[in-house]
Amino acid sequence: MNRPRILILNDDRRLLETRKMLLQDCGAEVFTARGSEESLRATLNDPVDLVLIDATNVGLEHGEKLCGLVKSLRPSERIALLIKPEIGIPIQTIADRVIHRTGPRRMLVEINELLDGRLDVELWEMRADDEDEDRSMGQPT
Amino acid sequence: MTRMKIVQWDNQPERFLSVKDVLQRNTAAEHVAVGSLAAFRSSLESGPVDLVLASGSVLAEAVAQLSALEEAEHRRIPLIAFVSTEDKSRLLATSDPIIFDVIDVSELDRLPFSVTRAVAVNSSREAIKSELEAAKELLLSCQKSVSIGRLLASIAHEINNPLEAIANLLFLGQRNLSDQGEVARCLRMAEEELQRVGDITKQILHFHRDSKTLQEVRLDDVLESIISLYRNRLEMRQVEVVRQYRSQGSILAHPGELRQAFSNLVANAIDAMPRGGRLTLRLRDARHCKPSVTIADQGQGIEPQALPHLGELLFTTKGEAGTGLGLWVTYQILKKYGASVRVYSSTRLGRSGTTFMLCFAESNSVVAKRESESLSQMSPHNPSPRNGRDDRGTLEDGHNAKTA
Repeated sequence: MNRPRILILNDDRRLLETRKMLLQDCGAEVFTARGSEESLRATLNDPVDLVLIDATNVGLEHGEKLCGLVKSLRPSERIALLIKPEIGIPIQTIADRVIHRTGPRRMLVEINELLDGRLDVELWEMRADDEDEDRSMGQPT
Repeated sequence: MTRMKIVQWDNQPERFLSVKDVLQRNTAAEHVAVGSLAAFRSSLESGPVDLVLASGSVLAEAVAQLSALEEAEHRRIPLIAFVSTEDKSRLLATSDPIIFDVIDVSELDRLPFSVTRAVAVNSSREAIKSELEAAKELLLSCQKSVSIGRLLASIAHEINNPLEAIANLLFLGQRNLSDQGEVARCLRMAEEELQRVGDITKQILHFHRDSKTLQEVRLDDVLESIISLYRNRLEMRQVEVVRQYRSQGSILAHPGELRQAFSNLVANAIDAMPRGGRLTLRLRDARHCKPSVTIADQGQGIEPQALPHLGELLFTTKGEAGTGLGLWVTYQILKKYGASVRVYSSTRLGRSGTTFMLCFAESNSVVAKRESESLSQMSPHNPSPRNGRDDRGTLEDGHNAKTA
């Protein structure tokens, strides 16, 4: 299976770096850019499978604007929009999926679904789920 | 019901009796007649006066005295001018707010009605004024809550990013337990992020630890604590901070208030530069400003028509995103410390930006206070404080300026 190509947009350098490490570890080829229109235009020269936009840092309105820009430049590309966990999922959004920013596991599972299971995350996730289940089964009811 | 106290200042004593007679017949008023400036002043000082009646010859002096009183004590005593027919038409053309009515000596019958109305209108005005003051106080305290809310949101945002980075690194470490090098790398990076969280919380604690007494506050320390708090936001927006601290000026102040005032200006400057730019912080001693603080951004600038309204209550240039309270609070705090504010702004493409220049009166600086104290020990009189004014910098073409 070919490696999925993911573009991450974020203004926080360290968060960008750790997300890149995480997705690379799951087998993706990762590109990064800051959350501005200029950097997005400059990065979208090569096609990617998924654009991950963090609206918690750039703001929901700007995040949607970036989604619109991606869709106008490359209509076939999928977009995942990360939002704050305390806000509801916007009813009208251009993104293919809105993910609440609640940690790496949730993010990876949802991104993996969008990429039709091309990330190397499922097995590990299942194992973690099994372990959780085993632990809960061992507790007195 | 308390009796109204009416002071009549006239240099024609024969008119006292007729006025007193008319007033006593028609109103519950205590009539005090004075014939000189000294007596007039003494009657004003002796207790609350509800109204002043002044004849044409002393009218200008009476207005000046009442204006000074209003300036000093923030209370107005209405005045009715009691003048000749010729003077009446001339006076009616003028519009001094202190003169409530102009009565011709020949229309004495109208006096009781005018007096009653003047006192009633003035007392309603004073009541509205005190309600307004109370509302302003309430708004200031509400703004404190709004500031706390904004700060909490900012803290959550500042801390959330390193926390998620830590979560990512721990997750990654777990995935690669067999690779000791990778685990060590993740842990090292997580530790750095944790350090970042620690730095943020330390700054916040420092930011909000405040004293109830006035203390010597170094303005460069205040600016640095604000920059530390906004470090992440500055980095994300790619805003470069240029520090030009050419003075180590200190002033006597409540540090928390100064931080609040400056932090609003810095936050506005960052907000004005969503695509990055330069934030200049300058401290220097000018001829009449010791110190002078400049906070300048390279944002989109403020439209000229908005400039005169900066610092007005509920005025905002941020649309729904603004409350119109931040800059107002900043101006209120600066006013309290005797600082003047000048704003220069340009919306010209390629050279846009806004500069806030704050001038602290020399008399408020710690050095000046110390010098003043040592001078007062040597000399019997203290130097009077000067109003804060800065050397006017050269205005670039196309810049608009506002002085507050």
